[in-house]
Amino acid sequence: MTGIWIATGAVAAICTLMRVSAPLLLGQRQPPRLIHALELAVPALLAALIVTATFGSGHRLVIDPRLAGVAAGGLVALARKPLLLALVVAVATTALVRALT
Amino acid sequence: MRYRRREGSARRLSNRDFLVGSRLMLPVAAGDVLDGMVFGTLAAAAGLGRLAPVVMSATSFSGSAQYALLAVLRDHGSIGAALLAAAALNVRYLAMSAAVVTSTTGSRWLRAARCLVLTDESWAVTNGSDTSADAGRVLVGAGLTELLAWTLGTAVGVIVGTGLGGTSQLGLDAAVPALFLWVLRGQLTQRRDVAAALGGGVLAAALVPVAPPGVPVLAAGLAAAVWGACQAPSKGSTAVTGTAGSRHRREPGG
Repeated sequence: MTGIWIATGAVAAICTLMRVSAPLLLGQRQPPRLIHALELAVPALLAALIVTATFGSGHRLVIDPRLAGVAAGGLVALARKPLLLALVVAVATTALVRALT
Repeated sequence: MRYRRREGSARRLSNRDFLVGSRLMLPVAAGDVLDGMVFGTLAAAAGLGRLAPVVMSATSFSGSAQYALLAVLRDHGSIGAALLAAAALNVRYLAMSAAVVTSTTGSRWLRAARCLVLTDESWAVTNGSDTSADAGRVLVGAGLTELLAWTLGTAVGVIVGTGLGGTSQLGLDAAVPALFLWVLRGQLTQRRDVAAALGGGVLAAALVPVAPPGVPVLAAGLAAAVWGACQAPSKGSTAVTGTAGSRHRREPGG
């Protein structure tokens, strides 16, 4: 039982460290080179998150009803409609395709 | 520097920025409640008791790291393995938090405190919000909303379990990638943004089968960051000084 609490505390510490290290180290500095690096890192990070959340299943890439939902939500995003609409369309499409297949 | 302009009404605006983040996060938070219920159910079934899983959700606030910890504890593995997994899964937060703190105000400690509720989703919401909002405050609104949903869901899961098959039965598992896509759409203003996104997506896809979870996203961000840093124009030839990250693309009107 003690082991569970030690592990819980240690993992929380690691997660916290990953979140606060950059702001603590950077302080008020905004190095231009870092800004330029982050400008391109943001779209790349987002695209990587999209790929892993849409196709990822453990160590495999799979095509399942999520893709239909994300594609439908993407069309809403392309039309520059609100986020809520995009999410509702994505969830409903995925649920529908899943129910039909 | 652009935040100096509105110091007069700063208090009213800060509350608004907080609510902006909270409101944008709500639809995703609904899925987080269900995800939390699934985690709580599995953790209780693995013999972690009722309190520990809830404390995990409230303090680690990272589904992937918590599932890694759960697997290690269930199989009586070493805590070191769980720590290594948690670090590898979340090292991308270094880059994400750096992007947030370059477009927020406040002291070093305040910025760090705001980043305590950083997740993929709260970070994405922050990038998707209007640039007139303070990134740090949007992040806190979005992050606290998600933390509440995730912890509450975990508590429900450990106490009553879940009769649901999780988010995948309802289609809610598509909400998170759809959120990322919606935010990305607003980020693509130049050709090189599109190139970075395509490159990042392809790299992540290529790494998923061979790299540990979390690494594909990190690698995509790092590769693009290196590319961006190498392209940095010489000092003084650009107008980006004073704004930051990527949120300055849509300047507030007036």
